[in-house]
Amino acid sequence: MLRAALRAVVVYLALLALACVVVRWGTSLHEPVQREVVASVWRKGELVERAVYLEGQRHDPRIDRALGEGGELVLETIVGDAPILTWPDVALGISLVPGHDGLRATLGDRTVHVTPDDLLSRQLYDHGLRVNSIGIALGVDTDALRAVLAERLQTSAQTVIEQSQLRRIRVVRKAGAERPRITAQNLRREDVRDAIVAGAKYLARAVSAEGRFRYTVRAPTNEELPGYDWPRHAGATYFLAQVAGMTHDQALADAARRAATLMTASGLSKCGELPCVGEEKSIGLGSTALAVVALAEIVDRKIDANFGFYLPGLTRFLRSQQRPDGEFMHYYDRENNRPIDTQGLYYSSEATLALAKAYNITKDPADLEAAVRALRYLVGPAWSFFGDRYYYGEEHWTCQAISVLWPHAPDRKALDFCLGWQAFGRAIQQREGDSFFDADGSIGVGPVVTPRLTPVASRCEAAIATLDVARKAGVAAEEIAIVDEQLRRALALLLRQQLRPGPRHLFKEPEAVEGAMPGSEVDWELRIDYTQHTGSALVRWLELAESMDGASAGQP
Amino acid sequence: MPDTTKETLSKRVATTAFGAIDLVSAILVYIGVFEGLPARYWLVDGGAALLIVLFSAAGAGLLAGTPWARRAALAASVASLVLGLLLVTTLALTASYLSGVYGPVGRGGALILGLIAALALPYLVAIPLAQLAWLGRFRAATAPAASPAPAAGS
Repeated sequence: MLRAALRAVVVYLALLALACVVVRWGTSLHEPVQREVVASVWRKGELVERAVYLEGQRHDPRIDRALGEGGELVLETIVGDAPILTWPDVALGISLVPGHDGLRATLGDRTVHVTPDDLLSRQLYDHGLRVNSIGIALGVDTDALRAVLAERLQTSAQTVIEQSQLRRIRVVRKAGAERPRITAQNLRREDVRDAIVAGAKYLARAVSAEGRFRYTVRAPTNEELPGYDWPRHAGATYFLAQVAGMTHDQALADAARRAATLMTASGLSKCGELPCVGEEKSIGLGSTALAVVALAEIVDRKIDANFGFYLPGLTRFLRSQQRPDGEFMHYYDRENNRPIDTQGLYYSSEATLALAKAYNITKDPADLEAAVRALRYLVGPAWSFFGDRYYYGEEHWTCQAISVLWPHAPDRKALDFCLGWQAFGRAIQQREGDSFFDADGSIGVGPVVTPRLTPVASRCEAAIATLDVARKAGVAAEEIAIVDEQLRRALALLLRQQLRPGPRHLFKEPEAVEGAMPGSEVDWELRIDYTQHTGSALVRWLELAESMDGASAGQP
Repeated sequence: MPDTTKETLSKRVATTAFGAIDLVSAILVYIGVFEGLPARYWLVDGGAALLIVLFSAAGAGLLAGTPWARRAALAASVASLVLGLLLVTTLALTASYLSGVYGPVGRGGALILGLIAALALPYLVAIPLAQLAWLGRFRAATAPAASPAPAAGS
């Protein structure tokens, strides 16, 4: 009986291993005997002509005619093809590597190609299966993909499903001149400065006369998408102030002023007797906290001292939300005039940073005392559980608060927390070759999810603050060098992915989105905080580098 | 202690142990699928619901000593074994498919798939196998002795 069971297990495992080999081989890309080239002419983000020919053959005359009327020629060479699962939808969706794979569809004697550029221009990658609880979307939007195929094959989506034959194609794109690849090794201050200015100019262009940002912009069509958020408005204002202070650019300073004015005019509300920022009935602490960060930066950078007027009231509101143990109550119920003692992500550390930065302006010891108490809570009871040294969350403002507070109240325990946080970040940071994506410096969550760039940027903000404090605290040079290398790899990734200019041919108005940061290498819905986090990190890195020159300790 | 008493005691211990394990398995499948997974998919949810019902019935029946308990335990073990092997097979083939599409499955992906397989194997494959073996032995022990051959002629 036992022998028979063991034999069955061995047979099962052998069959399973064989099946795995067959599946892997069958779905791997196979190099075509003769490569095809998909030549496309794009004009203002629209595909105007396409021809497919064998590599090495003459161009199709249609392409030359289209080019004569203006546009950009893009060649996508098919370097591999493979069968693809078309059912269930989720399998089809994740069977295309974002940004690299497209489809060849055949219906009768008609064959069409949907290339990565087609999918990118329609923003179909990473818009398939949405997992709301962890905020990610996997795979291609298969309904939209079938609609494109139906349009190209001049048939219905149903016919595409039932009768067409699909194959996955891997494509290498050749467009105009490409920038040299920026890496941790060749990261230069000039490149960083250019990236900062480009990012700030993008955001400055996005501020209306009233002071409102174009909150999310769909890059291929340059359309503004719905939605707005005061904390991110404040964050973007903070970045504009940082760059205006750094460059003394009047246009940037004006944009920062306009955005700050909106916050302190229509954005300002009453939470009981105290001023706060936001419009909702239940106001989140983050909007006031980041407004304080932005206003303090505007005053600190000597852009406009008048905004200092709002700081004492706003910090009083923040302090009024603090519990005796240092934690903050994250919401305020404006209907019943009472704080709501629930906590979410970020707000406590944003409030800590806000109070710390405000203290530099207000010089109110109550602000400093509240910030110090909040920091002690954040790096103590708030992150104390079995296994707390093995796992850290997304929270990235705490280490920035430590850096601001260090001159007034150095806290070694807080620094150790940040060094531990960086070590955790290093463990999940990807290296070149870890995935098909632009991996080096990214934070990956598996092979099928395109790494998001904002978590990289916000971790950089924290890493720079940690480096700053670590140097001041005399942390060992070896440990500092490790964090520095980790940081450089992340910053290089951000510089590579910034739209400078990005694939211009896929954008209706490339100049409008120049300098923006995408959400990922295939997500071109540009939200203001994507650019802000990257930009703020780059500003802090550059300033730290320059301050190290002053301290004659070399470039960071 | 006489052999029969010892045997009865050991049967009772085994019945209680398998009953408790079946209940724990039902709870773990519930937590793993309905609390742990971030999205709902009828194929997975349906299989999990079936296992939860069968494991709960088997566990409750064995602990309460009901007459139908062993049939429920048999059904739970067979269903769990089939679905467990299906899960392991699907995970292995999914990893192979993704490896074909994306190149070597990233460390993260491999780790996640490996962990799921490692977590599922004891509850969905090893324990059901052990329970099936126990049920088989139990049935052999309680089967009525072969009736004597009828006498020739009458």
